[in-house]
Amino acid sequence: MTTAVTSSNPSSFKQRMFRTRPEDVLPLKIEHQRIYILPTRRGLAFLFSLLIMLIASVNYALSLGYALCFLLTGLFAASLLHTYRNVAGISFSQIKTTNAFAGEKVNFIISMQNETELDRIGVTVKATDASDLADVDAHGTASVNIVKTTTKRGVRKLGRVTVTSTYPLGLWRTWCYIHNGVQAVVYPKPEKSPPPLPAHSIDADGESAHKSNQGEIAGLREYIPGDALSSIAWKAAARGQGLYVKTFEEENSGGQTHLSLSSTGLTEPEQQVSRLSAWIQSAERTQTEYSFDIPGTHLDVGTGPKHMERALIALATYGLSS
Amino acid sequence: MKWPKRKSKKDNTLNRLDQRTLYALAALLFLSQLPHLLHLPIWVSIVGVGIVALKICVHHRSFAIGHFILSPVGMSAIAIGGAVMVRAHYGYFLGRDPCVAFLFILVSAKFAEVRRPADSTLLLCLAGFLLLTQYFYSQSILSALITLPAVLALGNALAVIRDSSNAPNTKNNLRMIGKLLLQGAPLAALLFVVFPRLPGPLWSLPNDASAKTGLSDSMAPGSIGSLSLSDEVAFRVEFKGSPPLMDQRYWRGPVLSNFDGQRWTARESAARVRVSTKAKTNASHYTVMMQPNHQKWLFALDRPTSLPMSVTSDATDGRVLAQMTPDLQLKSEKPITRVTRYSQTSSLSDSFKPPIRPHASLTQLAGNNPKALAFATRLRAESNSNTAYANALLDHFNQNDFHYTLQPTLLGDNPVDDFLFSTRNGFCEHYASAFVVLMRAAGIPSRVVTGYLGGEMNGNYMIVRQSDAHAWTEAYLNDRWVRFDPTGAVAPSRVDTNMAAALGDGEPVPMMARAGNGWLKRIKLGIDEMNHDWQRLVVDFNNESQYRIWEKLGLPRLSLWQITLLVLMLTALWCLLVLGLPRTRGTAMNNEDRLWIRYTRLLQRFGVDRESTETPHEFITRASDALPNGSAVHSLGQDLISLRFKHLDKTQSKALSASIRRELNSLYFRNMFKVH
Repeated sequence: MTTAVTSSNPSSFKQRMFRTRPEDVLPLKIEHQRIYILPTRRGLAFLFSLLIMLIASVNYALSLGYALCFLLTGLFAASLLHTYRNVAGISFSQIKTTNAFAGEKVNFIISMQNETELDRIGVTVKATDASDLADVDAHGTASVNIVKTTTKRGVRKLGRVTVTSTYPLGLWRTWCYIHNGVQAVVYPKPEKSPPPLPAHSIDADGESAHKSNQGEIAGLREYIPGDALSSIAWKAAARGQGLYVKTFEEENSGGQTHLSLSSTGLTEPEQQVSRLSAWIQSAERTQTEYSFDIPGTHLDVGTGPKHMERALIALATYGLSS
Repeated sequence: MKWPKRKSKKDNTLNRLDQRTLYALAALLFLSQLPHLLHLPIWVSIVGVGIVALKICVHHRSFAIGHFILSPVGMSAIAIGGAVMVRAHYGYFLGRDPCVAFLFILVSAKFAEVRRPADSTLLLCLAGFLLLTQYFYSQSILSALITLPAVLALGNALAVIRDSSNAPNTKNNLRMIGKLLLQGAPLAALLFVVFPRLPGPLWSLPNDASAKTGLSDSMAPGSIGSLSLSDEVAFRVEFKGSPPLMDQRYWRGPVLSNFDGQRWTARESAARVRVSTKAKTNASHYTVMMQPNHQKWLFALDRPTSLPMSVTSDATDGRVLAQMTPDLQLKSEKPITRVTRYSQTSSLSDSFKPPIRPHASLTQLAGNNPKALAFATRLRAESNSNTAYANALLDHFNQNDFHYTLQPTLLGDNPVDDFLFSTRNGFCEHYASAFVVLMRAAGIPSRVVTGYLGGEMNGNYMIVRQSDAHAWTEAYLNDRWVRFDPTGAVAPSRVDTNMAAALGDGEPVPMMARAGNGWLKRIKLGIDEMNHDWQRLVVDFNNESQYRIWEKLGLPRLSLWQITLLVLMLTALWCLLVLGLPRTRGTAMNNEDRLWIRYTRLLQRFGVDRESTETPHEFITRASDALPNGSAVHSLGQDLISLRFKHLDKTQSKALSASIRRELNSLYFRNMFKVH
């Protein structure tokens, strides 16, 4: 096999045929080369009934039967061109993503632009497990939102999307594929009831001191192994209500803390990142400045959405082979 | 963050059709059922249309009985019951008519239980087929026109089923379908012209026989008289050269030789004669377009000298449609079930020498008519010859008090006696029958000939109607069959004008058979001419018409693969044209510019031209000052300026341009009819 052709010409036959090109660069205008079109099932049924009508016309020599049959054939053929034209020439300008915690949903917001004179109606964009549709008016823009569910931390890829339409009569389906490597980050699911933020633990070895009896008692929560004995609500335990831990108003607002795997006091990596994820959120909520340190990522003391995002992204991908 | 959200298809509840889909389907169904109401038994029509109406009612106001009828159980019962009833009504099931009747009911039953999109697809296909079956019964211009709204409804139903949640409104839908149909029309026309037509049917259902129309192969008193009440066209004729004179327009049909005292019937014989094709003097060449009569005979001017040939571009390819019997009838193998076009030659004479001697049965008499026999014997004795006797009989009819009427007195047990000596009024069959009885009584072989007498020229062709049906006689004199028309002896104007002229006032003559040129008749004749052209150009379009087209284009007859290639090439061209259309139109001019140009053209008609140096505003002011309807012109101009230069959102600008368009149209029409 001669590889000269394939290597010198990236849009070679094979790539076009099998869509092996890994990535389409945005903005991308849908040209006729990548558009497929086939009859829908309704279209096939329609075609079949046209055939029956034609046979009846032949047998009974019904001239008007031929005329009706061919008129509907004309309709069928014209709707092919209109279906094709409904998708051809749409530009995909950008894909925005929203990140989310595991278990929540990530959004891929795909913007479409129509620079032609024709309104594009019911343009459907499908990913493997979600789809959305929109009309793109002439000289207008529109966007569709692909919502994907998440289960575990890491990255969620948009994957191959199919742009498809059956407008105007639903007799033909036209479609084309777009490959884009865009991905949303799925942060680790925050631990449900995390212990309070570690105090200013400046000691690098991560030995955390639980300064829990500062401030006023805010409430009780269930005991989790690793909680300081001093914070257990012994009175409640003595009444036989089980082990509860006193939580306190986190008064170290505006304070500083250091978050690292070892500061969680846990050993299981997923639990570690889950607790860190929760801590980052509570630190942001209470505006506690935090430095962040996991293998591969080090963040200096700071706070704010960007800081948080960087920390969460690092957590999302920690330990996963990319 | 908010993005435009649309209901996805899966959100639709599938077990109940939404209203838009229901209405779209109901409209389609109603329009495809409509043409069938003319020919279906009334109960079929009521059941079919009733189910559709009931479904709509139940959709609006739920009630238990309605739900029960429309349930799958109820519909199965109706479908099965319908099949049984149809079988009972027609006496058979596997035929065209009962199948159409059953399809009619089935489509309605399907509509009642449509729930999922797949069901509606099936319904669409059935409705399309139902639409086609109307052409079994009529292929008139009206049938073609009535199909168009149904096709629009079909397209609309497709569009609504595709997306019922947020489809554009029905008006936009119809406009879109109209556009698709117009764009598809060239392709449809191409296919219509080039698609190969087969000369014969692929199969025929055993019970496809249809009601026979026109003359039958028997004649009893009253049978032709009832035919005369019909305006229906029997056939149309185009003559090469001038049409025959009025009294030569005897269109020969069934020849009736057997008489049982009441009824004349044809004598069956398998004999066929060879036809000499030498050109005769007084020959008439013509082409007949015969409406299907579901009988086996064709008509020709008396007397035919050729066999009917199907019409083709060149004479070599014509098929012989019928053979000639010894009594000069043209008989085909199969009943004429579709419009048949044939060329024919006749020699216009009232006598001919037969190929074989007349059969002995041609002098047989039946029935009890003693007075008639006595009269015949006496009159024959008084005459020198058979010919003189025949003429004496005609004189008898002419000189006695015989009346020509469509409403004769009923005759008793000896009908010929009663007719000749007491009632003395009757229609052509009475006169023909009595004449033949009297001739046979004198031992002269004679027979009744039925057919049509007359025909009305309409433009360049002749229309022969059922009301022209007639019966005359032939007698064998001096080795020749000679035509005698006793009706002509009673009412000469029946022969040289038409039936209406021969009948007295107050007779139930059908309108188109009446003399004169009433406006309604003229309109009807105009419509007939249109129908004739329609029939010739569209309905009768067949492989021979195709050959004629190739000939005109100077092409040889195309083979199948050549046709396929041609269609593919033209289809590709068509694709390019259709895809190219909106681009060129769209970039050429936008909406505002188009409206502005219409406006300036309108003012030009009013006599105000825009100077090249004028701003639009100056132009509008000047025009409104100069014109009598200045205020309207001015406000319209202002609207145009704001449409062009104000930043309007899409709905506003759409509304504004719509109102401008309306105003422009009204100004235009007021100008056209000079109303200010």
